[in-house]
Amino acid sequence: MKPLRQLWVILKKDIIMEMRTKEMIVSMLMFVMLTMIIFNYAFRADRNDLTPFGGGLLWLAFIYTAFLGMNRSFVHEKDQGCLEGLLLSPVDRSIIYVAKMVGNLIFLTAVELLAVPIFTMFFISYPYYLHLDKLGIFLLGLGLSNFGIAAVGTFVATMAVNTQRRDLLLPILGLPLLMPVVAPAVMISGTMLSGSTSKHELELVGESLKILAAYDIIFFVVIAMIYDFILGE
Amino acid sequence: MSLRISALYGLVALAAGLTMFGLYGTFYWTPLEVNEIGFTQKIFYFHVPMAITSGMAFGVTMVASILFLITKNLKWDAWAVVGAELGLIFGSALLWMGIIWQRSTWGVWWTWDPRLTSFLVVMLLYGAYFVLRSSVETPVQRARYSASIGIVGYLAVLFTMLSTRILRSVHPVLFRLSDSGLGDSSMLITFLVAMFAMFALLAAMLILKTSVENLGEELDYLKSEIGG
Repeated sequence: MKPLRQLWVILKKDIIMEMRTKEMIVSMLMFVMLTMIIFNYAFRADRNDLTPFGGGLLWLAFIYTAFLGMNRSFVHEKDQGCLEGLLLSPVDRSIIYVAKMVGNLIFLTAVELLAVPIFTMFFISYPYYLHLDKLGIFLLGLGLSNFGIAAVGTFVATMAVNTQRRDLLLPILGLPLLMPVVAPAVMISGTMLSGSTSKHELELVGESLKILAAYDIIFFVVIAMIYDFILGE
Repeated sequence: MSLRISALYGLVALAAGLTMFGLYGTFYWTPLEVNEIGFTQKIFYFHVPMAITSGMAFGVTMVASILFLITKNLKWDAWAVVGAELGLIFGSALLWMGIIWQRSTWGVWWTWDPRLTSFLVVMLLYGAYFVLRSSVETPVQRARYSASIGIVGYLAVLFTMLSTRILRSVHPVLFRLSDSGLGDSSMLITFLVAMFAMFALLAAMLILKTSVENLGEELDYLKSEIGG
């Protein structure tokens, strides 16, 4: 019970701060929309239909938005001296990790849920993924991918903020670590967006969900175990 | 001390000898591949051993990273760095050989074959490992950070290989040992010699480079002792 309460307190602090400033969600959402404008130039989308590339484009925008947000989440802690406070408090280090990670997961998911309808409106001719049998898989894919991104991103961001290069480090270190998430994420979202009924593609979606689940569990556990060494001072 | 050094000389000589024999076997002893690949098939004799060696070097990084986090001994940090360095060296040689091979076999410089794709990700990941190292100043913190990336990175490597292979299964796997036509015994012997040559080279370079790293650390310590 006690660890859960500690987790909730740290998480609540992040949520309250975000509710007051709306800094992360607003800037992440703006970034996603600006990226979409570039998609329009890149594909000369006068027909407004980028369905075949939908999955890849969606995750291109999301992954960089995620880095943008996760970098901020630790810059605050560091610059305002909150990290020292957290480290001094009698809280297990892995609880700090889980709390920060859940916070990032919530903000990222919120931005994505706002951005997907906008993306659909701009580039997708018919929203197949809204069909009931597809919507569940689409959202599950989104959730599992976000979990992996938040798990690894929070870990790398903690390191990055304590180095000289700071926010430069998260994308170049985080992106190769997250490639095993991006590939299945694109596969799932792309297939659901295009409404493909090809048996082979649906099989690959199943495999992708399994890969994501395995990645999430293994990376979450391993990082929670070694997080102590990252924060330790 | 002297025994250690002579053993090291022996290892270097072994690596050099085996490499020379491997090269001789590659160019003069083994027959030309009669199927469509032809002369460029000979890249195979060093290409595959180098791939395995570079994977082993990254494995050294992972094991040394775990040992560092357990023991907190900076000696293991040196092993981890040297492993990553050698993995990158063998890896870039491997990539260039692969590019030459593809260009002459398929007529393109690059294909998004699962192995190529995952190997490129791996190279960029270990490149970022060195960017991370260069952006942390205190040695202990640097060692802790890079050790955790050494562990998590190796897991990511395994996952990248797994996911690119599963998700691209529409395409055939392009190189397989059984397809390489190692029918002739000279081919098999050359391949195995090249393999042991690369292993010996890796071992020799690991030992040499780690002692250089350790000396460098000792030097830094001595310098700080005299206030330099």
